[in-house]
Amino acid sequence: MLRFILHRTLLMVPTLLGVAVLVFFMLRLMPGDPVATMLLGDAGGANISKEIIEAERARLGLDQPLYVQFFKWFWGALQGDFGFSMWTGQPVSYEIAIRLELSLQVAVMATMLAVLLALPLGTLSAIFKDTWIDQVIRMFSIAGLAVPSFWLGMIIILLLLSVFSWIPPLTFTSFVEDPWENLSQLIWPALAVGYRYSAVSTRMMRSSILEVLQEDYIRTARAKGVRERLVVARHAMRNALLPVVTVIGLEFAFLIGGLVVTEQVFNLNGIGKLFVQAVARSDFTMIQALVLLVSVFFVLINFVIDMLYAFLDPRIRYH
Amino acid sequence: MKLHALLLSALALAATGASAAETPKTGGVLKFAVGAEPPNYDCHAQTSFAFIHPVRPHYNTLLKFDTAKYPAIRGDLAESWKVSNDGLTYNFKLRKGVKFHDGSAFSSEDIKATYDRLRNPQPGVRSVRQATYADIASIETPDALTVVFKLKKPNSGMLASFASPWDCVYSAAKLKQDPKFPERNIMGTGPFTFAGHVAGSHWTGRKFDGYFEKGKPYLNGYVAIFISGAPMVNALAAGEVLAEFRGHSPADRDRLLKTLGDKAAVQETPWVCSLVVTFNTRKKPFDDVRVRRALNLAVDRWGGAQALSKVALVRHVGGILRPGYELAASEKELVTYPGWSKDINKSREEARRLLKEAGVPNLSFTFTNRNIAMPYVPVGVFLIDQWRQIGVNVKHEQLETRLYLAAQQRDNPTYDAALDFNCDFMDEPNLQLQKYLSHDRSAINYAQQTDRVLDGLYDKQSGELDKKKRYALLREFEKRAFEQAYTVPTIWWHRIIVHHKPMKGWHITPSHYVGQDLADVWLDQ
Amino acid sequence: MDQLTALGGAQAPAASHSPWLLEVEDLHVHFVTTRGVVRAVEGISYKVKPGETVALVGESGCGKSVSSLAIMRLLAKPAGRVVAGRILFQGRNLLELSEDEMREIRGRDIAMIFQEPMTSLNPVLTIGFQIMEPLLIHLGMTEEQARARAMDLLKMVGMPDPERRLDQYPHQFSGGMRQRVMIAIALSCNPRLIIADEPTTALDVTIQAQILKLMKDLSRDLGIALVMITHNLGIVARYADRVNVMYAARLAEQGAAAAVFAKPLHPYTAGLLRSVPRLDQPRGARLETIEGLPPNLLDPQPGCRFAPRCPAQRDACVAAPPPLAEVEPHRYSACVRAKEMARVGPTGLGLQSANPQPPVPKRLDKARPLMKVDDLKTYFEVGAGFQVFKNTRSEVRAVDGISFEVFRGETVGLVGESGCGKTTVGRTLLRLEEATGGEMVFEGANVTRAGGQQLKDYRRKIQVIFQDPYSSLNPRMTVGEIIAEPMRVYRLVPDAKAARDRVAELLTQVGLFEYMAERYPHELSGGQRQRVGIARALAMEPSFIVCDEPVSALDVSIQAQIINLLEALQEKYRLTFLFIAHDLAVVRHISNRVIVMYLGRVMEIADRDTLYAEPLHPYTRALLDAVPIPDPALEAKREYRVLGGEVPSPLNPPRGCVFHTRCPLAGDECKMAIPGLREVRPRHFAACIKI
Repeated sequence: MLRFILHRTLLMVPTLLGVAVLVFFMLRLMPGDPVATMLLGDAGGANISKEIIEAERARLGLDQPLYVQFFKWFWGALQGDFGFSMWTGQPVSYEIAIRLELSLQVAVMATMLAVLLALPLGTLSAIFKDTWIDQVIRMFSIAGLAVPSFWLGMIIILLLLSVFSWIPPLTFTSFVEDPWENLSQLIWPALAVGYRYSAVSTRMMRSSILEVLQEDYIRTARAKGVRERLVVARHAMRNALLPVVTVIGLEFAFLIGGLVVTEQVFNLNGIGKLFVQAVARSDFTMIQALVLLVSVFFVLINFVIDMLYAFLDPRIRYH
Repeated sequence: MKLHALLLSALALAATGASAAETPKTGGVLKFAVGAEPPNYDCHAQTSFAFIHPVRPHYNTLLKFDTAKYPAIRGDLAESWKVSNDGLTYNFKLRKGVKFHDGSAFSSEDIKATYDRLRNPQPGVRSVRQATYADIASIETPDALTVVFKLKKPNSGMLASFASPWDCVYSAAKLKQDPKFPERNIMGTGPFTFAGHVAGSHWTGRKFDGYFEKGKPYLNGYVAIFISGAPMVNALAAGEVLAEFRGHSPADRDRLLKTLGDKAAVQETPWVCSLVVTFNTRKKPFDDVRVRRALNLAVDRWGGAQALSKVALVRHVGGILRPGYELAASEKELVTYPGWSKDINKSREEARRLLKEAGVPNLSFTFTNRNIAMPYVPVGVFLIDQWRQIGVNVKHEQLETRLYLAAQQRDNPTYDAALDFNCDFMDEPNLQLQKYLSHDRSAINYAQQTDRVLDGLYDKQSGELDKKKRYALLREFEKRAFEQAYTVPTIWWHRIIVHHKPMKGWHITPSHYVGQDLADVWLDQ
Repeated sequence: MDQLTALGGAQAPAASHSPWLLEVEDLHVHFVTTRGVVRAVEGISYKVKPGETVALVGESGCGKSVSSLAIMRLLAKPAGRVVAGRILFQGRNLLELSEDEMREIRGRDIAMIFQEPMTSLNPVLTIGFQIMEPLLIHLGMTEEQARARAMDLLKMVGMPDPERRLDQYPHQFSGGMRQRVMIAIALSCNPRLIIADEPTTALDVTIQAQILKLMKDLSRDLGIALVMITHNLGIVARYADRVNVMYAARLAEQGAAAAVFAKPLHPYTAGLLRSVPRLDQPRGARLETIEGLPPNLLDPQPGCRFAPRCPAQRDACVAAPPPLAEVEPHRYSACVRAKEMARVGPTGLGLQSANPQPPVPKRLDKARPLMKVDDLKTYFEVGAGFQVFKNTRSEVRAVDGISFEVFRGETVGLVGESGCGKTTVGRTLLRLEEATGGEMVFEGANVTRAGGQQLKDYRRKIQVIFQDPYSSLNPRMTVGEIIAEPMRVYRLVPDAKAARDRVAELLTQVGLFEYMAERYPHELSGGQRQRVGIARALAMEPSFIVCDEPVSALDVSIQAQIINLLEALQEKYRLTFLFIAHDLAVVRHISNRVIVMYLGRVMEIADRDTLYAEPLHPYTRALLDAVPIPDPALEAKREYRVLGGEVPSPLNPPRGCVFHTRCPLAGDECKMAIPGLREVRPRHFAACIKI
C-alpha cells in the first residue's frame, strides 16, 4: 500500500508540472493586462500617465521576458511560494487560505447531502424500478439535473426574501465560532448545489444498482435463499458504490473551484468567486495558483477515490 | 491683493445635518454594500469608488465638499484658508488637537509629507495624481498649524483639488519610516479606526474616540460588505445592508421601493458621469472630421435622454460639464452646438450630406462597448439605432472590461469607435476636459488626436481665476471639441440612491466619491 | 421417463409418497419484451428421481436454462413469468408457495450451480462468507459452526489449504477453483437437488473433467439428484442417466442417455449427434450439418419447430406441433415419424448418408513452407507502469521458443488450454504483438521486424478470423461497409461500385445473401456474423488465415456449418489456415497437422492421425482422455484418468519441464532441464524425456 501511495504521489509531479506550464503560458496569450484593468477599469477621474502604468508593470515584473517571469514564478512555486496577487499585492496563499474554509465547507455539506439522499433514493428507485416510487424519484433527479444550481439558489434567496424578509448572512462566520450563524449562511448554497449533486448521484446509484442486480452473483445470492433486502444491502450495494464513488469524488473536487455562479448568488467569499475575480482582473499569479490548487484537488480526490476503491473492492486491494 | 476668504467654524459644521429638526442619535453600526473591493489600502494610488467607500472614513483630507451645499467647499483638517489674488499662494490654518489613530499628534508636517508624496512620490511609491499637483512649486510649514502651498502658475481648479477625497492625509512619521506604509496599513485621523478587512468579504471600521470633532462620529462603527449585482439589491431589500453609495438603476429603485415601501428613502441627482463616444482618429474614415461630425449630428440626445431614462441610469443632456454645474453650458447654449440641436431631422440631413461628401454614404463599422448591462449596453443600442437612421450600419461588439481596455490600448488601438465613460470625483473642468486634450497630454484620451487649439484653450481656462471669463473659455472649448468631434458626450448619468430611512445625515451629491467620511451619518433606531 | 403429463389431475399431491423428487409438468414460460412475448418454454415436462442425474440438452436459446430458473422461481422480474404448468418438488407445487417458503427451499433443498464461475461469486465478499451465508440463513448455525462446516465443504470439493482460502476473495481463485467454491456453496445445506447450468462450459477440458467427476462423485456419495443443463453431448454421454433433448422451447426427445445416443428417435437429436466432430470415429470428408437456423421464438411457426430444417419433413409436420409420445418403452419423441425412425434409423429417413466419404488427402509442397516460425518468443512485461520501480517489473513468457512450419494449402491446428499462449502465437504472426525473439519467415522473407511497405504487403496476405462474432464487428457499420473497409484501405478496388460488387460476391461465397450488405451486425445471428468475419478476411485475397477459435462461441449445428465453409473455401482458394482452438475434436476434424501447446511451449507436433491415434506426450494423452465422447456405451468402457491440479501461473512457470507439476510420469529429472522438442518418430515431435 505504501508503494501504491508513493507511486501515485510521484505520478502527480508530471501532471502538475504540465498544468503549471500550460496555465502560465496560456494566460500570457490572453488579451488584457492586469495593470490596465486595475488603473483604468473604474478611473475616478485620475489622469494616469503612461509612466505610471509602465512603473506598475515593472513593479509586477511584467516587463521582463516571458521565460524569466516563468522561471521566477516556477522556482517560487516549487518552494511553495506562489507569489503575490497582482491585484491586492497580498500573498496568493493568504488570499486562497482565507477563502478555502468556506469552499471546503460548502463542498463537504453538499457532498453529505448528496450522499445521504442519493444512496437510499437511488437504491429504492432501482429496487422499485418502473413503479410509482421509481417515477417520483426519477422526477426528483431529472429536475435536479435540469435546474442549474445557481438558478435554484436565486429561487431560494427570493423565496426567503419574500416569505421571511430575510436573506442568509452576507459574511462568513466559522463553524467553530458560531455554528448557528455559520449554518444559517451555508446551508442554502449547500442545498442549491447539493440538489443537483444528489440528482446526479441518485441517477448513478440507480443505474449502478440496476446493473449490479443483473450480475450473476446476485442470482447466486438469490439461489442461496438470501432475503431480497439482504441481497441488495449485502451483495449489491457495495459493488454498486464503485462508480458512484467516482462521481461523488469528482463532483466534490469540482465544487472546490467550480461554484462560480452559486457563490456569486449567495455572495459567498469562496474560491469560485475569487477565480472569477482573478480572471476579470487578469490577476495572473492568482489564476495560476488557483488552477494549480484545483488540479491538486483533482489529483488528491482521485487518489482518495482509488483508496476507497481499494477499500470497497478487494480485487484492487490485493493487486 | 484681493483675498478670497472663507471662514468655516466648527459650529457651522453641526448645521449640515439632514433636517435641523432632528437631533442625531449616537450608537449603532452601519452596514452598507460596496460593489467592488479595493485592491490595496493606499489612497494615493487608487481610482475606484470601491476604495473610497470603505477607506475614506479612516482619513481626513485638507478640505472637503460640503455635501449639503455641494459644490461648496469646507475645511476638513484645515480650519480656514486664504488664497492670494494672483492665485499663486494658498495658506491653510490647521485644526488644533487633531490626533492620529495611534495617538500621535497631527501637524503641518503631515500635510507636507502627504502632498509631497502625491506630487513627487519616492521610487516604488505609486501616485496617480502627480499631474493634478504638477503646478505646485513648494510647500512650506511656517509652524505646526500652518501650511503654505506656492504655485508655479495660477490654477483655477486647485482649491477643489485640495478637497479631493483621494488625498488622504498620512502621518509624516510613518511615511518617513516606510514610504509604502499606507499600502498595507490604515492609519489616519479620520472618524473611524480600522478594525479589519476580510479579503473578498467585508471591511470593518470602529468609532475613533479621539476624533477631533466632539460628539462625532455618531456611529459606533460600520461594516462595508463587498457585494454587487442582484445579491446586493436582495441584501438591501432584506435590510442586511442599509445602503449602497454608488447608485441604482431605475428598475432596482422601483423594485426596492416596492419591497420596502415607506421604510426606504430615495435621493436623486445628476451624476458627474457621462458616456462619450470616442472615434479612433488613427483609423479611416474616422480621421475625416466630416465623418465624425456626421455621426455626432445623427444622435438625438434630447429624445434619447427621455427614452433611456426609463430603462437606464442616464437622464440628462449636457456638454462636457455636468448639466446643473455652475460652469456648464445652459440649455440655450447647448442647442447651438452641432449635435445638440432639437431639430433632429435637420441634423440628420446634414449628417447624410457630410457622409456623402466624405465618400462613405454607406458607412459600416464596429462599435466597441463594455458588456456591462447598466448603462453601457442600452446606450450602445440606442446609438447604433441613431446611426442606422442615417444609413450607417454598425456592429455592436460588447467586451469584458479587460478586453475592452485592451481594444483601446494607447499604443495600438484596434477599435473603430467605442463607448467610453468619463466619471469624475467632482465637478471641475480641469478634470472633465482631460478626455478632450491631445493624445500626448492626456492618458485617458482614446481618440488619439492631437489638437493644440483645444490644449491651448484648456491651459487658458485652467489659469483663469475669474469665473465669468473661465465660463466663456469653456464654451469656446466645447464648441471646438464638438465641431471636431474626436470624442463627444452622449447622455449624462443620473444618480439614484435608495437607502433605509433610519440611516440619516447622508446627502447625495453628483459624485459618488465625495461625502463618504460617514462622520455625520447616524442611525435613527 | 415413465409417466407423462397425460395423467393430469390424478397426480394430486400424493405428497412425499411420490417416487419422484422433482416433477415438471407442462411448464410454459413467457418473457414479455418490448418487441413482443417470447415463448421461451412451451410445455416442458420431465421428472427426476432422488439421486439420479438428468441432463437437459439443447442449443442456446432453446429454453433449457429458463426452465431451470423457473424451478427456482428466479426468472428475471418482471419480464419472465410462468404462465402454465406445475413444478412439484417432493410433492409440493413450488409455484404456489409464498416467497418466504420458496426462499427457504432455495439453497437448502434445491441448490444451483451456474455457468460462469468468474462472475457468479460476489467479488467483494470473502469465499468463506459466501459459503457460510446459506448455513447462517437456513440452518441457524453460529459463526463458528458455519466456519467449521465451510472448511469441511472446501475440503470435500478438493480445495487445498481451506483454512487460509476461507478469508480470500474470488479473484484470488482460478476458474476451476471458483467452480469448486460454487459446488461447496451448493452442497452446504445438504440439498436434495442440484441444478447445474452449464457448470463447465467456461472451463478448460482438463478442469472440466475434474469438476464433472467431482460433481458426479458427490452426487452419488451424498445421494443428491443432479439436473445437468448442457449443450455438450459428450458430457451427457459420460455423466447423465437420462436425457431430455430440447429444441426451440419444446422437448424433442426423452429417454435413458444410452438409448438416446444409440438410437435417436428425433431428427434433431440425430442431426446434433452427427454434426459434432468426434474423436472416436474416422473423419469424414465434411461434417454433416443441420442447415438453417433455429426459429425466432417471438413468432414461431405453427407445427413442428424443427420442420424447416428437417430433411425428413412431411406435410403433417407443418400442420400442428407433434406431441411428445412414447415411441418405445421409456422412449419419448415429439416427431410424427418417430416410429418409422425407430425402425429404419436416421439413415433410413435420409437424415445422414450411409457411408461417409473419406477425406481427400491434400498434396502439399513440403519443400517450401509458406510460413516458417523459428524459436519464436513473445514476452509481456507486467506490473508497475511507472518505470521508477524497475526492479518490480516482471514478465510473462506467453510464447517461449516455439518452432513450426506451415505449408501452402494445409491447416495446422494449434491446441491447448487457456493461457497456453496459442492466441499470442496467432497475434504475433499477425504482427499485432512484437516478437521478443526468434523469427518468422513468410514466403521466404523474414517478416519478424518488417516495416513500411513490406509490412503492409504482409498484412494483406495474412488475415484473421476472430472468436467472438459479437464484438469483432463494428456495430455502427453495415455488413457491406465492414467487408469493404479493408479493400478501400488497401485500394484493392478502384471505386465504390467495384467495392459493392466485390462485397456481393464475397457474401455469396460465404453463404450469405447480397441484400445482407445493408444489414447491421446486430441483425444477424452468431453464425451469420462469423460468416461476415470470414468474408472480411477473404476480401484481402490472403494466402494465410489465422483462425482464432472461430467456432467456439457457436452452437453445435452452426459450428459444423462454419467448419464446412472454411474447408470449402480452403479448397477453392488454396488457403492456408492456422486453426487455433481448445476443442480437440474440432481441431482433429479440420487440421492436417496439430501442435499442442502448454504454458507457452510446444509439447507435441504431429500429423493429425498420428497424434490422435498415438499421442506421445503425457499432456496430449491427458487432454484426449479429458474429452468426453458423445457415446455413452463407449464412455462406459473408457478408462480415463482425470488430470489433477491446475495450470501454473505463467508469471511463475515451473522450472524444468513446465508440465511436470501435473504429469503422471514426472520424476525428479523432469525438474532439472527444459526438454527440447525432438523427433521421436518420423514427423512426430514431442518434448518429453520420458518417452
